[in-house]
Amino acid sequence: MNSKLCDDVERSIWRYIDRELSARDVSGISVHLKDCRSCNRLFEARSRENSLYRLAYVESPFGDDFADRFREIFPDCAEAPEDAASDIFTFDPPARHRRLAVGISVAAILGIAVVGMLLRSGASPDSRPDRSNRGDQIAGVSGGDHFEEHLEENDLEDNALEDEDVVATPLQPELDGGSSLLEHRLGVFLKRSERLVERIEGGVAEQLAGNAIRSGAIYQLRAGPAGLVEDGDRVELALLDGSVLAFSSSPWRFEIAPGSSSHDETFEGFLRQGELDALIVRRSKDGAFAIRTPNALLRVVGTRFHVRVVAVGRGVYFTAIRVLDGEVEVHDLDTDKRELLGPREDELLLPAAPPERSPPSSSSPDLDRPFQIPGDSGG
Amino acid sequence: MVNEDREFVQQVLSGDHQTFNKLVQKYNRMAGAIAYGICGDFQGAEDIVQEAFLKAYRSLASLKDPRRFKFWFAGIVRTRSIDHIRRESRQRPYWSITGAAGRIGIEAEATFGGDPVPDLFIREEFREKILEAIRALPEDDRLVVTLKHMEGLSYKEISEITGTTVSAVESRLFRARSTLRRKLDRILK
Repeated sequence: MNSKLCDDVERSIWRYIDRELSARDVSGISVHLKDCRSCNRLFEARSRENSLYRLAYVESPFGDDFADRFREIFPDCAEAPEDAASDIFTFDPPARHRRLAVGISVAAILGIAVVGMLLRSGASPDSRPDRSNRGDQIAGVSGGDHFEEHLEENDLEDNALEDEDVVATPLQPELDGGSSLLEHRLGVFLKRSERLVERIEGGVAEQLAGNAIRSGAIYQLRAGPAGLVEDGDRVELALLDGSVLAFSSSPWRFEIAPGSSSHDETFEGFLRQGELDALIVRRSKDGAFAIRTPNALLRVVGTRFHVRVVAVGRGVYFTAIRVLDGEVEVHDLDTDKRELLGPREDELLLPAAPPERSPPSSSSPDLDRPFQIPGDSGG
Repeated sequence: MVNEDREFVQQVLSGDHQTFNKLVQKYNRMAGAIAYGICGDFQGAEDIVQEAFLKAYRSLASLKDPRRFKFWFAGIVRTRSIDHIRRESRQRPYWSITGAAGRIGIEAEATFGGDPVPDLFIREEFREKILEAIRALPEDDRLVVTLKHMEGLSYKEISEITGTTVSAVESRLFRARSTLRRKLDRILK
């Protein structure tokens, strides 16, 4: 379109993606990307690269789990005698089981002194590391109960998330026996965001400490001053196929449909509240990608769109959709009308259904109603 | 954040040893990115970071400016990582298991996001291919790519950790990404 602008965008595209540009430059490029197809294609290609590079590190052993393991292996490292601990640094075991070997080495070097120390720490709970923030606490302690109460109270009010600090009970993500590990590896909440994202199960919010996300679970941005991400610093859910869902920095709640998997390219999510931008990798013929809101269903086959859900009252929402690229079928669940949306500047507003036509939210709050995408196929 | 580090360090030095766990919690990702960026092996990186934290704890009193803990600790991780590579290289040719640059080939039949349908196993393979290509980058490039994509650091933070300029970081990132794009062409399309 405009070659100079295009050159500028090409030069700055990585800085744009890496968020290294000034707000003014970001704005200029964003405007240009809307108008220029070739630059937009470049942006999409680089964005996909970016998310794939990040996904390459999904198996990284670092994060909350590492800190827990460190405490377990070296519960008293802080009190370890200096010359004994220094031996650790010349220890060079085989690469496999090295962590265990280091632990054994320390124990061997410290000998009876360490045993004595461990016994002391066993006899005196106060001498143990403070594990109040550990990820292996049992559900049902005050944090979880508090959150459950918060949910119930909140849902009965207006289904809106409060801006109060929510203290969630952190649980270690566990793989239940009924599902395979692969099913859980749908994607990852990207770094710097995963601690802010909670998974809700059985009314208990669980701070997401691991990388894998699972189908059939509800995730939300941690509400409250302590958890909110900075303005403009959005939380991204990167799926293994390269698709990215970028959530806003304000509270949102998102459920991944049971049965969603990367294996057969079927992914369905329910944006219960909040807003997101989606960059969807082109799906195969039989693949499906759908985002449901309380009153709309969006089926996409490789596209970019923005959707937001605004709660305007108890169980009453409107959904706003703007398609940036490709096509999205919008199914108004209240009127049963369908519309194929292409790229457009303005948002399509699906107004809230009148209360008497709204889904049975009064007896079953929408935010916790079982997730179900209508089975009728639309594209 | 920096003042928080100073408080943590001072608390540890004044006898509140458990506060060191907060530093572990806060910096293990960054340390992991540095260690992995240099050694190219998650298991090795985990060992390096554990050792580095122990070393940092033991040497904490020698840290002149506690506000600089982050960069001081990053230096320890870096030194440990280089030591690790030297140790490994004495035992075996380390990069032989990850492949030299010329050996990285993308042979998967499926294309990403296209037909035929790629399944999760192929995607896992893609992920491994991407990691292989990253491992095959020159060390300096691999480090900036890992700090950027594994830890999501800004150019400035990367420059402070690697001791280079912001523009050098940007150049290295650009070069590394171009190299990766060439090697991973079929996956990225």
